[in-house]
Amino acid sequence: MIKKYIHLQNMNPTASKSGFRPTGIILAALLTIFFFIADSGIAKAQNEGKQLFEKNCQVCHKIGGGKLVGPELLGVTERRERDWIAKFIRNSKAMIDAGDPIAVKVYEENNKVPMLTFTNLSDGEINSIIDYIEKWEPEKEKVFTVDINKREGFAHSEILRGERMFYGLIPFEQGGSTSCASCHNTVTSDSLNWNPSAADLASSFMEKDGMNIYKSMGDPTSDVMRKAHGEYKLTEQEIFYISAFLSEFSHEGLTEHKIFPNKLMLFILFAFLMTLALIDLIFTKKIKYRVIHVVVILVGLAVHMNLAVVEAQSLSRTQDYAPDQPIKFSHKIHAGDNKTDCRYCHSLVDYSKSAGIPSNNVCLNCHNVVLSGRNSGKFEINKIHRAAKTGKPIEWIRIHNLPDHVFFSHAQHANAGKIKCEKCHGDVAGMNIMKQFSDLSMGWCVNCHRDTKVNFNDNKYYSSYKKLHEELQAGTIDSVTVEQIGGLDCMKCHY
Amino acid sequence: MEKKYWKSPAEVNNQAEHTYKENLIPEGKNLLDLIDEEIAQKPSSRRNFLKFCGFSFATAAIASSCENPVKKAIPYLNKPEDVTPGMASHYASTYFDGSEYNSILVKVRDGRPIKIEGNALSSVTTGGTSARVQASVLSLYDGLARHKNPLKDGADADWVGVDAEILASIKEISAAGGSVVLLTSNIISPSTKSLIEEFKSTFPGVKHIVYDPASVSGMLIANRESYGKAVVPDYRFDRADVIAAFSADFLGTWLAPVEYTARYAQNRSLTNNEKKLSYHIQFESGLTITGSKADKRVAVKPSEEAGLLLQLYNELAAKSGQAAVAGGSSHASIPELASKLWEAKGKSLVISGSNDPNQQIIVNAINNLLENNNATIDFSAPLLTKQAFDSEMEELVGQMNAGSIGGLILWNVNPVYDYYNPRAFISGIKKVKLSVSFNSVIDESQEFVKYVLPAHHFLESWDDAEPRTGYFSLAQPAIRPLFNTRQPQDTLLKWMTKEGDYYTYLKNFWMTSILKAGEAEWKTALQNGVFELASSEVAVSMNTGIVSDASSALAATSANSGIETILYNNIPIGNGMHTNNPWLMELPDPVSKVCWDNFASISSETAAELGVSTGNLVKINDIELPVFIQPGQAAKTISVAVGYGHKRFGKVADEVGKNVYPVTTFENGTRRLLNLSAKVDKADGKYQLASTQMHSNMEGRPIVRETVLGSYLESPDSGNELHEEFEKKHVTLYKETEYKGHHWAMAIDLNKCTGCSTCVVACQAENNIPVVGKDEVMKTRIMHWMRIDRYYAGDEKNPEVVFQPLMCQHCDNAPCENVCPVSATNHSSEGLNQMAYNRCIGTKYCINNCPYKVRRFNWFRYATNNKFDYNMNTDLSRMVLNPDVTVRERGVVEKCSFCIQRIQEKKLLAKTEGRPLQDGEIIPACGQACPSKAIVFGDLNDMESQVSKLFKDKRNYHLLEELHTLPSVGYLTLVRNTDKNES
Repeated sequence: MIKKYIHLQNMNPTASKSGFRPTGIILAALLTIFFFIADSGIAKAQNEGKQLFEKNCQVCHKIGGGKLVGPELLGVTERRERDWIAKFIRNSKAMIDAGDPIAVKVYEENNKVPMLTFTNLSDGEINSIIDYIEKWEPEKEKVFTVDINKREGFAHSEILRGERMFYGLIPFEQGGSTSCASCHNTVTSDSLNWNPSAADLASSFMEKDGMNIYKSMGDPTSDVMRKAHGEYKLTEQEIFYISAFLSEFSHEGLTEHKIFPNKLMLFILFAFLMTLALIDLIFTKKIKYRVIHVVVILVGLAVHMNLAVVEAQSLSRTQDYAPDQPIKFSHKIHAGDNKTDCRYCHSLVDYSKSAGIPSNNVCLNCHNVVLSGRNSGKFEINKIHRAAKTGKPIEWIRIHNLPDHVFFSHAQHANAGKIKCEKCHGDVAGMNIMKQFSDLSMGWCVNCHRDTKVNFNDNKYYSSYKKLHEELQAGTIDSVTVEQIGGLDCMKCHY
Repeated sequence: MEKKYWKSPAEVNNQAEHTYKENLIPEGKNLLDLIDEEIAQKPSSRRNFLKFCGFSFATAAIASSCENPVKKAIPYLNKPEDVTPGMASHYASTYFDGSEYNSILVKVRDGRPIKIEGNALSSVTTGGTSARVQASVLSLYDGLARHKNPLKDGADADWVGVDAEILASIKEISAAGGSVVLLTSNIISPSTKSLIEEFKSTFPGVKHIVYDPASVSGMLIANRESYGKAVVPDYRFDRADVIAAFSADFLGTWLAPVEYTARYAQNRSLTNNEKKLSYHIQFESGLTITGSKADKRVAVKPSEEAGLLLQLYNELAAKSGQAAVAGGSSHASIPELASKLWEAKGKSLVISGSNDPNQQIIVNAINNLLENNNATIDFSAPLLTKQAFDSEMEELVGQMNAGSIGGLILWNVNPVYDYYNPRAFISGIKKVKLSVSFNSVIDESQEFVKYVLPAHHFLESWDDAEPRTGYFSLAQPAIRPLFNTRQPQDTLLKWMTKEGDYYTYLKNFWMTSILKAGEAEWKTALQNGVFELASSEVAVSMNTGIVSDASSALAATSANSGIETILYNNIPIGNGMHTNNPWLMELPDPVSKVCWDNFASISSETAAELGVSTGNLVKINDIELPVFIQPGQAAKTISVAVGYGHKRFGKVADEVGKNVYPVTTFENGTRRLLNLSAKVDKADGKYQLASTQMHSNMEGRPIVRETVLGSYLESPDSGNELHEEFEKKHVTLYKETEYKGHHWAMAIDLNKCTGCSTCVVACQAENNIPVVGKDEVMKTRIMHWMRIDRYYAGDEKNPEVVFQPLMCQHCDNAPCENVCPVSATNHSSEGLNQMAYNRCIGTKYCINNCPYKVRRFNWFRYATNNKFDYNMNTDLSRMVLNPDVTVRERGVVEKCSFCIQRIQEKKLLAKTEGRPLQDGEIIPACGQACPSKAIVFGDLNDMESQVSKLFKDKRNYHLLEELHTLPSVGYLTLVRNTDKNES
């Protein structure tokens, strides 16, 4: 009867509902140690160089892929002295200012865009980056034993096998403590889960030029994913089965999470109690004191009435509505932790009736550089890049819905009225999942209009309200509320 | 003196009004019998009742258990810099449909044009618009009438293919020495003209002919002979103290009505301490709004006009000592007019709407005697919107039939529909090897052409215009083309295999030939929409030698005793190009108040002679038309509007009314919208017209107050003495409401209002008002929030006419508010009578209790009901809706809101900028559209505002003020420039 809301209870990003089994943890730890020992020293250094390169350089440079923002780096160790490169990485600006001819030349060749300075890197780290560049070799085409491009038309047995693997019913050959489903939920979640859901994975897998599951499982690129998938060494055949399952799952989608109908049970319980009381009162007469019957019936009626009134009031109201969004976007990270101003993204708020959902290019202003998220890795941020590439904008789910016959202007409230965003939207900076804070009912609007004082003397617009100014001066009123300037007129909002 | 006003001849003769009779109680039965019968036919009504109860409970339960729908918010991928979701942008552009010019601003909201306003920067149209211009935005979204693809033999084709075939064909015809004719409507675009010249020089054999179904060839020929200039001069109604017009509806449809109305209104204004009015006399057959506004109107037959002109010439010639010419009638009103004109020598204006070159020569001679040339008739910036010489078209049709035309390209013309001899045109076009149409909409001519290369709608096009010499304007697209169409200019460029598109061509042309400047000036011109050069004075002198020939030709015509038929362009439909526009179709003609049909206007005497009355049919040359008894119609004349009776033009236009273009004639080298010898007979059958005339009668009360100039000068409150009397009587037991902030009010100057009905369409466009169709109009369910009431006074043969715009009066003591059981309509703190649709339960008590009858009830869900297949029931056509105004639900009452959305918008703008509101900043849609600026809106609490001043004017009064409703709309009395004795 009433829209189901998602509550924010479990904020632990990785904890799955089933939780870790202790044996799994031990197994995982043992495996990790084993892999570290098995790694040769050189490979380890090369790995460090790679990670440093990806973290610091990759945004502007490519190896063997041509010029990006900065120049191509393939063969740079042959073109330049190693010391020069190290010096340049550490502080290119100083070299240019000092008039190093090569540095100036490089600077001018690249549209005079200076390279960032990396004074935070140690000599060893810089060396390992240079080593990595020097020893870099193009990735060899890996030969797969399975058809990695298959997206549809899997055999029923393959799908079933994949499904069992995904749910952890069949263990993986080379270990892995928990099932895929324990992180990648297949049922709609009532808590925040930073991991992509199974449906997310499936749709990403099914997309044209979508996720290459073999590559991302075999060679994870983001820190988050490396951490999460570190212990899994799936065989190609296993990945093939899982992809079969994902292909099937993309048609199904997530299963609705069922909430226990508390209120309905309460309703039925009291209905039952009242019926019993009535029967006993009229027929069986087992309880001596009639006052007990009366109390039961009265309490029952009160509960029923209360339920009816509360439910009726909340009809078509959606307070606390917090739907799953197409991207696991966290206002807490953006507005809270990173202190991005609300108006940076919702830039129309001062001028237009709508505050505006930021267009994709606004996201890319930062996410051109910030490619990997703290909690969600690359999966969510990639959706922005994919939207830009495919030309299909992100379809957000609208949380704050006003009926069509209500005219509401953000400019009026945020700009003219100088109302803080938080007053209506709550502590957005603390919300990982955005939810509707206020009930947006007419009573809520009207009460605020009754109480809110107008910025009457500062804004010259109100100079035409001469009578109110006279009253203010005469002291008959001490302040002007929105109500007094017509804030309760029907046609303030309805036209 | 009390005048008796009346709204229809039936009323003045105390007859029962012809009303909608269907579905009423059959004779011989009373209502109770009918109810009994109904019950007898439907037994077990109790069980039905219970069934319905159960059903409604079940639906309520199901409906309430529905989940809220998931709505999406989809942002731009890359937000364009100049688009702000939720805010409108205005682009300056130009409207020109082939005959009417208007410099406009297009309001674009979230990428879609939703409203057209006048461009106040233009000194041609000065911010005014006409009803056709206001409605033109709707035709953009007409997905059924517009072509969606190029066509070959009626089937969809691709541009590359048709281009290649047509080009090959043109080259072949051109090489063989044949001719290809580009048949266009009037073209006022300088760049397009230059392009056509290039096209002609690229393909020898290409000829350009201009065709206009309502041409002024007669005037062009006369001016060529009189002054050596085949142009329409600039008529300065603002400089004229005496105006004499012969069948020229210059406030309605003649030449440039928007411009003329603004100028005319300047000399009819008394609100800025003016002490004089212009004197306007109108000679005409059918009653037009121009005739209605005239101080004196003379009803004459078209054949009498020549005699009147000769008489006037002779009278004036006598005064100036010139020789008289032969002929001339002896009408009583002419000597008086002559002396008035003579007194106002150099400040008078005589015009004629006749298409007879000889009559126009006499008009020129009269103006020459009056020394009006270079004074009220200005040749330095002539009007260029009319260029067609009818003889060229006549010649072309002859050549086509003779087989000497190789190719014909139609561009914005539809001769199969509007040529006087469509059969000759059709047989001619069948003999043409290559036939192409550039028309953007499906029309009658398309059936006979091989290729259709559809043009964009003008709101999707680049264009420019030069409506008067030296007055340039630009048109820019306000939306991307909705369909696979292409501008004809681009087509010509493609055929000439030229580099670049028409935009580049236009820009280069402007920078080199018009602006003679760079990019910055181009951008300024584009932003302003207009670019005006100071025109150099051009003085003309008349070649008076031609007068005698013309006069003797006119004198030789014999008098006509039969019934004469006048075919006219009416205000809503014009020449028939916009017939498929539902807003225009449902706009009542300001004089007859009939919509959804054309009809034969006949005077009651002539009707009696023919033995017909309203509701009967007459046959005019075998075309059957419903009769409408029109007060003021000249005896022995019939007026019929052209533009109706389309066969293949769209769902609204088709088969509505009759096409009377075939009744028009061609004579003496020019096309006449006249037929002096059409056969008129009574026909069998009955027909009902949808008239809004008797909807809202305010019987016998001092609704319209008027006076004459003489009395007004003696005492400004003359005719309005009642106002003061009623003001004194205003006593109330209740505390009067105090408006502490704004108090919105509107003043309407009845002197300036011409009844042109632009405001009605503007209101409809702004406020998402549905079109309801003929049947509903007949049931008095028209939804217009404002209407123009028209009252007649005096003699039925030639009555005085008054127009009165009427919308919600926003009474401070509103009768509607007291009776609403749910308080859905109540009063705002700013004096607005507000209407909360979602509270309304549809009792209609307010409608009953409103003394002004301005409230409208939504009988249906017009926006989604497919029975109202006009402009709101498809996704494409709904794009025209104003997102700031609710689309009303079935079962609620609605009415004028004083454009509350505009009030709120401007208040917010002032607030965010932290400044007081300026007077005149808020303009409702009606006031903004008005070409004569008769509607003034503002704040009564601002003592300096224009509306406050007008409310204090002695001419100001309120409707039914004796009821103590305290309306916020004031009317300024009508002051006629007639003698006291005459009225």
